[in-house]
Amino acid sequence: MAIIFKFVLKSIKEKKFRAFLILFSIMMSSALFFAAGAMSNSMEKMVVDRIRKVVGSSEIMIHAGSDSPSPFVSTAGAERFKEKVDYAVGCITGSAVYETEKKEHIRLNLYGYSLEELQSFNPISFSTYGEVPFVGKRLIVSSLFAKENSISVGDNITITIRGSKHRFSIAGIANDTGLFTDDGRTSAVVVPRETLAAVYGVKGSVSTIFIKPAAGEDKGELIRGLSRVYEKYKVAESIPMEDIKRETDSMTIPFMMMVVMVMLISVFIIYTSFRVITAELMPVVGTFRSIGATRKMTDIVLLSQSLIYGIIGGALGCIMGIGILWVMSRMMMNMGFNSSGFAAAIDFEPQQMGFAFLSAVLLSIVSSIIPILKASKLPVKDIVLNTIERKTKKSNWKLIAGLMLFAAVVTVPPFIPREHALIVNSAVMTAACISIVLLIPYITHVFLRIFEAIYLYVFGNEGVLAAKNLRDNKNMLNNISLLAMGISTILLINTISFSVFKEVTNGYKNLNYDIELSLKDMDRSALASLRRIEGVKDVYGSYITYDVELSDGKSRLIALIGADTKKHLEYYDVGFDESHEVLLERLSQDRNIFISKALQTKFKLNEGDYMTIKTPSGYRDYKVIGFFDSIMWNGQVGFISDKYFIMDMKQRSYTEILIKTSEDVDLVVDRIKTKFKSTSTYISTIRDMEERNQNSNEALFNIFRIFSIMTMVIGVFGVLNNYAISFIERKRGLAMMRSMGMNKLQTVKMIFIEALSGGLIGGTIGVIMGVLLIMTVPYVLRAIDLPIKIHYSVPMLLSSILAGVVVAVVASISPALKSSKFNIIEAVKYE
Amino acid sequence: MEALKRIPITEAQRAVIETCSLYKTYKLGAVDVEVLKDINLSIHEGEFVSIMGPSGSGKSTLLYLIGGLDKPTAGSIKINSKELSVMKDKEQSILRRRDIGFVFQFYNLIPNLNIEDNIMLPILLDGKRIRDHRKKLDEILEVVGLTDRRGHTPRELSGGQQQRVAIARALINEPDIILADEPIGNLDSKTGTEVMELLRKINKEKGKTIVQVTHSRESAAYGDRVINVKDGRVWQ
Ligand SMILES: Nc1ncnc2c1ncn2[C@@H]1O[C@H](COP(=O)(O)OP(=O)(O)OP(=O)(O)O)[C@@H](O)[C@H]1O
Ligand SMILES: [Mg+2]
Repeated sequence: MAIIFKFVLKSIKEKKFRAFLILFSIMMSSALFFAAGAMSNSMEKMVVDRIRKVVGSSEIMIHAGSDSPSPFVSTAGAERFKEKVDYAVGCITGSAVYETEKKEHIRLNLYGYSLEELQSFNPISFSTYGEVPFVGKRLIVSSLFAKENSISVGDNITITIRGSKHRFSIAGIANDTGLFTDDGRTSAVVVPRETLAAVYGVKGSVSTIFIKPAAGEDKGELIRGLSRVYEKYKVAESIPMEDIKRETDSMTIPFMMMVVMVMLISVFIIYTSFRVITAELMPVVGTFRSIGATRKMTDIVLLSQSLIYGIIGGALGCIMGIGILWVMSRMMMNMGFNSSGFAAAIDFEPQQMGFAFLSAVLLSIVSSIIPILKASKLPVKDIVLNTIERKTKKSNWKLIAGLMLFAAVVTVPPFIPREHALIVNSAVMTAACISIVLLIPYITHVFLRIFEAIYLYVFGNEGVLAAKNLRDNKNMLNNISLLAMGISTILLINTISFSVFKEVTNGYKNLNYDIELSLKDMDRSALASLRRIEGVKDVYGSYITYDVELSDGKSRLIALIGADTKKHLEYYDVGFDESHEVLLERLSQDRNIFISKALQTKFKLNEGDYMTIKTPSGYRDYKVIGFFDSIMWNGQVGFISDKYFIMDMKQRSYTEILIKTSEDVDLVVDRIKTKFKSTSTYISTIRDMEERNQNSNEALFNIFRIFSIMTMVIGVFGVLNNYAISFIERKRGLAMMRSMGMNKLQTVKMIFIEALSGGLIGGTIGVIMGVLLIMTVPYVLRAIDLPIKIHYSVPMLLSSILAGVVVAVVASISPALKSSKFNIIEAVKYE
Repeated sequence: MEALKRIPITEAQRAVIETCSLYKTYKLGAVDVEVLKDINLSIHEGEFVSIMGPSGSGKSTLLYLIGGLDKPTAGSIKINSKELSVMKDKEQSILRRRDIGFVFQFYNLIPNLNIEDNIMLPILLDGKRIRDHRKKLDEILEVVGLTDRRGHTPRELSGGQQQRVAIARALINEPDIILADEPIGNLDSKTGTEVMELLRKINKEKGKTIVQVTHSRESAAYGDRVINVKDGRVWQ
């Protein structure tokens, strides 16, 4: 036994590149598998971290909702639960404006706390504290704010709250962590709660109550109890884990799709490598079997080899995975997370690492088991006498299986159930790849027939010879498979990214205005004063409620719009074909709603059906009277007339103000900023919004691109390895041709034409495979509520084919050079 | 006593292969191995010559030098009065294509090309159109007796059949010279005889010059002349 192991080790040592290739693909698969899994954890952690900055260690939060009688909630109710809680901390929130020496306006978020209570559940880390009781007109500011405005403890500053000026002295300066983390837009300020209560004129009431249940108390029960007391208020978990999970899970699906591709290419590489490995070790295995080793023993030796690859690859993969995860969460920062108080975080559960490791071992064993078992079934006599029957009869099972899988891949996706999108789609993608790989010999055959005819005229006889050489050439078929898988994965990601870009661009094209604005008071008088600004052509106050629950309690609209029947379609061009007025008139006649086509398919609604919406005044039935195409708010959007919106949603002021300009947009923005400087405003041009949107999408796709590039890298290494193998195998044939008078130039030309042909075929099949994969994507995206239409880019398809050619030709440079140098006689002489 | 039949050399018969003070030395690390020493040979048009000698004496080396597959350390080789050593790779290749046909002990067919394609390789390499040489192919397949096997791949053929394919391949471009390194070394005596008969036929009917390396007296008897090589020297 030990001796067979020695042979195994020797064969690993001799074929270093192959060993590297197997390890590399296993490592990459498990690393990306781990990173994709842990990514959703990390995103969860990032979101939770951000929320924790405000909610501290609390687990339950009570605050007013849109249907509450007052924005403030009395702390008296919570008193009754004294025994059941660790703490119940009240907080009054508000906002203020600080004018800097340069006359800039900084928006301050005010948090009214009793310092003692705050320190108990969300402690401030002080840079300096002035040793004064935290009462009266005192403030705690962040280090950043203090530094930027040259403020130190004991100084006095003036801030504007609700239009009136107040003078405060600085009691302390906090480090920029926790509540004071810089979010780039506003600055947190802690004020004594009683002081803020006095300013707002509330006694015994707060904006939010943060609660931590006492040890042993059931959180759910406590929430139910509190809900009964605070009937008209929102009692919820401080960290809405379920919502967060739902969000991050939808991110996991695309990641896992990419992992499937990486795994597939690895399976292919390990499988083909082990076919060669077992063939090489056959004589040794045969000899051992002939002197009494059992089949089991030799199987174990071969399997242990793949086990070793799996273990080493898995271990390396876990380490690598942490690195990739780190890079990915860095890249997440570019998705606009950094501006809202996110910090890069890496988080994973130990099981995930265990799973990744296990996946590596499984990957290695599963991919190598078929060649190993096949080899072990061969009769000893045949191995020893080297009379292993060579396959001569051509079986067509590959063709049949390939075509059947292909048919399945084309027909199944429309029936993918939403709940099982991830699993079913992974299976469909796997089937798509396998079907193409099975069909590759046949597709290649057709290509070669064509090439043989064309090459005579393009490249002369060397071309014909090259085409003939590629027939039934295993190494070339492997290369074509590898190229196809790599290219299709890159194409998949780039096409989706391109489609999203296109869709978003189209989406913004439908917005017929230039500026979006939100002010403190958004009413008719605000519209009027905006209209008076030079360069403002028209103004429209838009009503929107976000995150609207539907009657099933699970589904939500991202946005419900209350539309002004006269103006709405002038601002949002949603591509209606009927005349606008007629449609909008119908909207205002009753509780009618237009919904997006995405919602139409999601809920299978027809015209005349009803959609039940949860409003502050209870459930309301809206009759669906039409559909429109939109990608805004991911297409999870509907609009009703403003009349019913105000009635049902109980919202008086506009959500945002849309402005059309007649002059340079930036100029108008500046004028608006000057005019509204003392009240807090949010203003953005549509152009900037689009840019930010595209950038954050791009950042997301860059993360996916890592995966697709990894697939391609593995593929390219595989191709290089195949070229090395194929050169050794072909040396004799090449020497033969040289002896028959093929000159060096002809040899090189032939090898390059072969590579070119392989690349062309690989690239083209890659495109076919890519398109097949892409065709399944809309169904998956729909399942995660992202109704993206696929846009193909012809230059992208063509450059994919070109990529195949470039990889193949570059990979053949080394064999081509070697072919003109090797010793002919050596290659010809011996059997 | 039955002497080997000698064909009288007349003025009309010109030397197609000539070597002059041919030396070949292999460097094995620091040691120089002199494989061929001062070889002077002259082989005439239409001759069938057998090179014999013990294993390792340098027979194959000599044959490959003549065919231009390797370079001599010193001395000259002339094929059809043209000096090999001054030719570039391209010219030598053309010479191998048009003037020389090789046959090897291990057939050396290209496994994934069928019999037809294997035989037509030299035509392809010479930049000629396959379709212009169909008739020629049929003829040669007839000569080697493999007409019914033309579409098969090499591994579907027996050793003797494969060797006949190799001979057909050596003939397709109608070279003047055929160089064969132990052409029947891998065959049983019956198929060996068949192959030798074939070579003799080609020599007699087509007037090709044949140089073969062989270990067998019977096989050498098919030729006109024997050149004995021992320790890198020729002993006539
Ligand atoms: N590439 C090489 N490097 C070093 N020595 C070589 C090389 N090729 C051949 N030789 C040596 O040259 C000598 C002659 O070799 P060659 O193949 O010509 O012998 P041969 O007469 O054909 O023998 P056989 O009858 O066994 O085929 C041998 O001693 C061999 O070891
Ligand atoms: Mg020899």
